[in-house]
Amino acid sequence: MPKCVFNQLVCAFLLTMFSLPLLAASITVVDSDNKPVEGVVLGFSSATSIPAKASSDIAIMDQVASQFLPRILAVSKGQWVDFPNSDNIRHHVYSFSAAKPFEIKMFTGSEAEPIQFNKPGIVVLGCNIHDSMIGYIYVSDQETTKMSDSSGYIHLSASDLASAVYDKTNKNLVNASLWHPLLSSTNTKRIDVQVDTSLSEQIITLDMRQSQLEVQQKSNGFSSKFKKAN
Amino acid sequence: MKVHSLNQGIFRLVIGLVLLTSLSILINVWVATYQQAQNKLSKDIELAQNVLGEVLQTQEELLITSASVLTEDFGFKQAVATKDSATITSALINHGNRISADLMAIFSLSGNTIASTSKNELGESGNINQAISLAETYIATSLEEGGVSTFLAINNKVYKVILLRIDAPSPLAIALIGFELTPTFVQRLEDTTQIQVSLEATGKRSSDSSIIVNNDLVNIKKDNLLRVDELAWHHIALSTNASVTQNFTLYNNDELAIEVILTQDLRKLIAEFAALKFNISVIVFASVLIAIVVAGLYSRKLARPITELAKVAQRISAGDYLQEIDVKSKSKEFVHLSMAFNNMQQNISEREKQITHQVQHDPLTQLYTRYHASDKINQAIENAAEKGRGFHGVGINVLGFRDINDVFGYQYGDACLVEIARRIQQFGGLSARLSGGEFLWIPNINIDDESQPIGDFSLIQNKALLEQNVTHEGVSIPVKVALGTVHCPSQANSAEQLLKLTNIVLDEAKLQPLHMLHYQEEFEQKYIRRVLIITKLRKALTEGTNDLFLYYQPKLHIESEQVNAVEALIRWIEPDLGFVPPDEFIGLAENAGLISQVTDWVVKRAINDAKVLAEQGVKMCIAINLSAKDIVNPYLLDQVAQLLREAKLPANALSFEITESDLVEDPEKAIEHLKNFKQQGYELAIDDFGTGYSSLAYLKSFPVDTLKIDKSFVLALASNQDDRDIVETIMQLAKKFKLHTVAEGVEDPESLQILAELGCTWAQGFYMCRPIPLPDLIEWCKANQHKKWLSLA
Repeated sequence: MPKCVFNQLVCAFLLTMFSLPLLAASITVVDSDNKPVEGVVLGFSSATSIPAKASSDIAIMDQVASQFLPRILAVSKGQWVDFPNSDNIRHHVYSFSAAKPFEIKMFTGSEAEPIQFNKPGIVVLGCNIHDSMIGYIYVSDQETTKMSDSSGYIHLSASDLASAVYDKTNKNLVNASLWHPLLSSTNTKRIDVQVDTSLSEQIITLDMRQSQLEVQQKSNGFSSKFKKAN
Repeated sequence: MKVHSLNQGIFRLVIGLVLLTSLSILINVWVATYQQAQNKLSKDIELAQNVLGEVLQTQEELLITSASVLTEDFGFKQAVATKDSATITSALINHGNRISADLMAIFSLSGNTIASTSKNELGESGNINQAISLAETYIATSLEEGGVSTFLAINNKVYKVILLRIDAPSPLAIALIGFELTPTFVQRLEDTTQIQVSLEATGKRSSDSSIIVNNDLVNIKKDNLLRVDELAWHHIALSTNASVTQNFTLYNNDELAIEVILTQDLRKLIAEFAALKFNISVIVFASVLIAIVVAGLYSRKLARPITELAKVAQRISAGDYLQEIDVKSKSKEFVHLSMAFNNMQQNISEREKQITHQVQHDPLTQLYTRYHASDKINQAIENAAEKGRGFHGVGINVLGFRDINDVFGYQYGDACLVEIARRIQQFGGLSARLSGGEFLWIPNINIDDESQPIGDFSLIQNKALLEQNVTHEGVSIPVKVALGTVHCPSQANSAEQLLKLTNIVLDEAKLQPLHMLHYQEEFEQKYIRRVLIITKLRKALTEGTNDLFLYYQPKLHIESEQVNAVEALIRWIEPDLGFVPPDEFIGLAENAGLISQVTDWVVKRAINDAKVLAEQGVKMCIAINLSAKDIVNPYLLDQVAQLLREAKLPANALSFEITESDLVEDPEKAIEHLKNFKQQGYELAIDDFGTGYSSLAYLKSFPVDTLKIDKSFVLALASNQDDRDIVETIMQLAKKFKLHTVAEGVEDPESLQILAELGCTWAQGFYMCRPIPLPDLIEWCKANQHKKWLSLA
């Protein structure tokens, strides 16, 4: 853990001792190069039961310019997701993820029926004819989820925090998890973090992997994508 | 030093050079070939290595691509996603066949084997299990990196193994795809690289043995393998049946090492250069052959003129100067050389003529030399003998030639000789100069039927012509010659003989009043005797052989009838010759220049004897005979004086007698010298008076005391009135000139009586006493001291 983070934690601790819990919390997620990380999903259990989404509340995983848009989509268990094809080419969207294996073959426009994601977990989406198309759907179960923006910024409002489960020993701390596809090679790894609500500004540093796409883009030759065993 | 012919020299040089050049070329070619071969080999192998590396990489990429295409296949992914082992296995077989993979397996991300297969599905299940166990270490890496490319050695087979992560699109599983490295694969590599390729995989575990994958490496014996840097020239030069090899490591990790062995058969390489070497060798061999032929021809051509010139030089050295020198050669040098030989030949010829002329001709007179004349004479004698005829050789001797030189000098002497030679030449015939003043003239050397031996008349005529005065630079020189003839071949049948006899006859002729003689055989005996006498006399005088004696004949003083003087007479009794008369040997001694030595001997002995006489109390004056040459000898007087002083004798113990003929030869000179004798106090007498035609005018001037009347007037004095008249006249003359007289040859008392009556001072002769040795003289004197000689008459 970087030194500044430690110092901030110390500050947070001191603030907790002398002030009341704040109404909102801000978290910035950076990688080891201090660059903001977009699409990090912060999830924490809700003290109160979160009602299931209405069947009409359909999330959209659009396909624009042979990319999933958004690349990362967080949905609640049981929520439907629609896969409209905004490109004028066909896509073959599939997933072999345990949370929801499915396949929508060669569709255009709004031909595809919405799919309900009724198991929590990470669903990795691919397109069978466009390898560069990778998308992720975070299926949460009784969780409040927040996603970092392009500046790695996650804002937790007072209402968000109101239902949060605080740590038993430190009432300022909220046990949460962070997920990002590049946190592990299998794309499913989550990291447990504690959000310090006493801090107006909290920075969390993640040890990120290089994206598969980037590796491919960087490599010049096919063979060099492998590490040679010798 | 060993001598070789030029031929050989050139031949060896050319062959040597060509051989040297050829060898250099051969060696160079060999070395270049070797270097070229080594370079080529190195390059070939390096190229092969590079190509092989490239090929293997491409191959690997192809395999990876194939494998990737396989793992990217949606159907395959779907099959794997089913997690149904049987389905997955069937998919593996199906897709493995698509890319001809030899090994296929699917692992879960956690490393568990989901499914596996091999090309023969069941038959090689053992292999796949081994492969799986070996590949497990790579699963984590594959997951992280997306894939691993490696080699595995399984059951004596080597596999190229690729592990690939199956992304769907998140990692789903790990696929293992293996390709066996077969001999066919190696064959393809060989086809590409044009070099023999073997792969040797060696497991690092102790139990592992190495696996060799090759096409035909088994055919190459390991013993014959050479590394590239081990390659030496002789392998190529000797076409060694060997292979050159180079290794490089294809793969090496903790488990396995794979070496690529590149092998090139040397014979293939050598074959490339064999043709070149063969061609060069043929060229070299051909050039040596050509050089041998050309050198052989050319060296002979080059040496031929030299050989010819050597023959010419030999002929010139043998004296043949007339040969034509024509050496055929295109070389400028040889043409010049043969021209030089021609010049040399001509010059030698001319010079030889000069030398021959100088040898054959006397440089002064230009007459033939004795040696050259000898050849001509021998020819003439031979010629004459054949025709049964003969000719005369005339010896000519210039009398007193030495005196001419002495008096006038050599220049005039030479002028005389030249003039006389010229005169002789004018006579015709053959003329030669023998020595000094001696010539040989052969009037009719070219004898023919008409010619006659030379007569006395023409000889006298010629003699007169020769004796004309020679005038040189205004000086007129009187010349006298002696002539002697020898007849060939009757008297002399060779030139040598002729010259010898000429010498003898001239010697004899000199003694003759006319100085002209024909050779007679007795001359030779006389000549020999003369030579013998001179030789012995010289010996007697120089070596003191004790055969010379001095005898004394008393002179009776008539008036007192006492003997108070003696005449010393030399006697020589030689052991071989016996008694030699003084007249004979004194004359010869004078001619031979020995007279002064004789006189010396006489003077010494006489003074010695005079001393003896004085010691015996006999008072006696000893008279010594002097020749004309003795008188002019400037040392004689001093010597006599010295000896007398040593003997402590007065001057009047000696007196001297000089013959009238000696005095009249050069009276003025005689008078001058005799005055010296007179001044020293010696009495002088004229010997043999009456025979020398003395001029009365000179007689008056001669510083003499006594006239000695020649015995020819005295011997018959008693019986011959004419002799008596002569003696009386001489006595009267002596009285007028106040001279004493001595009569020689008194042999009877009557003559003594007459002499006494005529008033003669001394009488000498056998009547008183014959010449006797000194002891006898002393005795005789004592015995006849008181004898009355006149009263006996």
